[in-house]
Amino acid sequence: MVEEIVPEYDENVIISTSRLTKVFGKLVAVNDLHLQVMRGDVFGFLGPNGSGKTTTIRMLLGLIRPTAGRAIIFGMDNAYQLSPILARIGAIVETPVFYPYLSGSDNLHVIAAASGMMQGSANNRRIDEVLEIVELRRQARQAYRTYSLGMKQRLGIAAALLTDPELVLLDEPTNGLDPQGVFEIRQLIKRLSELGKTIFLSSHILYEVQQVCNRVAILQRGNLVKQGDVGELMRRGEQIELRFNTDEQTRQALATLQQMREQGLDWIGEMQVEMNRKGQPLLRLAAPTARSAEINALLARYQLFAAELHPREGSLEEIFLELTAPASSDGHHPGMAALAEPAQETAAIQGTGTGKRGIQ
Amino acid sequence: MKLAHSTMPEPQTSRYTRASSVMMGRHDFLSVVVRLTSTELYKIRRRAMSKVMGIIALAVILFTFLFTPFISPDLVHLPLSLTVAVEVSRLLGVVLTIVLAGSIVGGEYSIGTIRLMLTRGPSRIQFLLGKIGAALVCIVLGLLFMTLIAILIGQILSLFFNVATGWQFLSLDWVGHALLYLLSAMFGLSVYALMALFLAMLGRSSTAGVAGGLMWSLLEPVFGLLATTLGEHMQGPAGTFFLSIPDYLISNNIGALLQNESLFLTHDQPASLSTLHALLVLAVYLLVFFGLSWWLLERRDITN
Repeated sequence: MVEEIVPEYDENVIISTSRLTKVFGKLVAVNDLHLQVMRGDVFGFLGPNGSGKTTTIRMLLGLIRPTAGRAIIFGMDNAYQLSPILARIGAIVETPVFYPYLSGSDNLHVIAAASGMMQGSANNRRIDEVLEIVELRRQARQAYRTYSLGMKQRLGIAAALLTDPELVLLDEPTNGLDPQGVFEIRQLIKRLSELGKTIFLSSHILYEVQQVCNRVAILQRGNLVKQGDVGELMRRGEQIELRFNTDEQTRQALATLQQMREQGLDWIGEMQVEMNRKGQPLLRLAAPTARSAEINALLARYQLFAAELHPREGSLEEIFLELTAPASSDGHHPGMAALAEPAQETAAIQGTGTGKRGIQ
Repeated sequence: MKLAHSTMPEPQTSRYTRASSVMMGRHDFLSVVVRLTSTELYKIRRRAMSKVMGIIALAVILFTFLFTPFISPDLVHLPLSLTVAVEVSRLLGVVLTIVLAGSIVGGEYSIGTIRLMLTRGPSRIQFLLGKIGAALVCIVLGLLFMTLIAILIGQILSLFFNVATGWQFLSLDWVGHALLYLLSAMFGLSVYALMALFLAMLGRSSTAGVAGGLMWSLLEPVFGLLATTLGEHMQGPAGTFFLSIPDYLISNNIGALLQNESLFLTHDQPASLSTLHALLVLAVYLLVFFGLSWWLLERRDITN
């Protein structure tokens, strides 16, 4: 039985995977993955160690073959048209490795030739350009074996940019870089994005992803748990924190808000009471920060006046941690409720204790 | 699950233009292979190992020819010096070829650069052909260089040992056969190169290619001797089978090929195996090693 999968060709879709699966023995490294990366996206690819990020990248680059499914890149199936696809991609897969006996510049010459660029001095200017971008020009003649981890990483980025590719695929590009280096890579990614390149960025550094990516996919044990717009995800992670002077007021506020939600205020999400660092009860509710004043006014009608009210922006880190936290014994995933549509949310109102969104 | 490939729509031509400083080369199959071969040769040239191998080759040739006059002074002068030079180059060449071919493929796995190379655009078959091309160029240049140096040293030494030098043997026919003799030696070495390449690919390391290749080349004569001994002590079809095994070993066929060709150079005795038999057997080895290497490279995932 031949299953027909005929993806619509859209030149704005740079990467499209359909049911992409990789099984190593009994281990399902990537399961039924559907990804879509659009032209001009800075696409963050997140997941804990062993979640299948690198396996996915390797499948996209044709280093490993999928057990099932397909990857369409630039409208071409990478199982059949890998070479023309790779000619338009610059990639770093894990820690970049080069020939230790060659200098940084010579390594780039070798890679240039392997990438289909002309040999000899024809590409000296381009090699100087990319070395300049990653600030390795002064060490260009130095043997690669003498490079520090950060320099190796930067040479990897230079190699990825060598052909001025349309799609730049970066697997943990800031590994081994100092904070200044991380900042520079972030700036570089922003610059590349401004130049119209599509960036596929796999990273553990959530702040980095939050800063540069417009779309994100989160993997957990080979399964895609979330894919979407970073701004939208962050909005869903928005919270309002309220502190009252007494425990009694806190309990009343919790009950009042719960009642309001039951009466139709569906933008009020999960609520919980936690202790702050000073041991004071803190009512935290998932709600758009733009509704802070409205919440305040609603509670004031019931003579409940908050001593403090803090609108809190959502953070990718919190969302990531919730989504990738181990599922409870009943199969419930703590993060899924937070990301569900507010109308469908099941509010788990807890008394006290520290949840995943504990006060920092 | 099988997916229908034929239904995939054709992608539109990319409107993307690269930076003006990026000078792309030709992308046809052969140009890519030639570029990869040349890149591989550049890497070989830059490795310390190649320089060490060159020095060893020179030292062995020099050492051999310094002592040869004490055995037979005639051996240092043409035409006999050609066979001595090729024989020494071939014996040493087996070791050097295995080390070179095993490390140029195995090194990519050992260092991890295979990941880098296979994500840059060339297909796996182009990558493999680039490696084979580089190994063949090294064999041709290496053998030519060693033979010429050896002949030159021999000619110089012959002056000191008062060897009667005559050039009556020299004719167009002789030069043609001398070239065929050299080509036979190169063909023989290329079988070892492909063997080391296959073993390196099988074991995904230089060690597998080098150690496996050297073990094979060392154990092959022992295996041949064992098979002959067994065959002589056995009767019937089994005995015939064991006796015929040495006829299909790499070293025996290379030896036969060279001996049959040297007939025209030194009027030696012909080998027990015909040139056609030797060529066919070696060609089968070449095809099998190449086919298996290709199959392994195509089928296997590139992991850590």
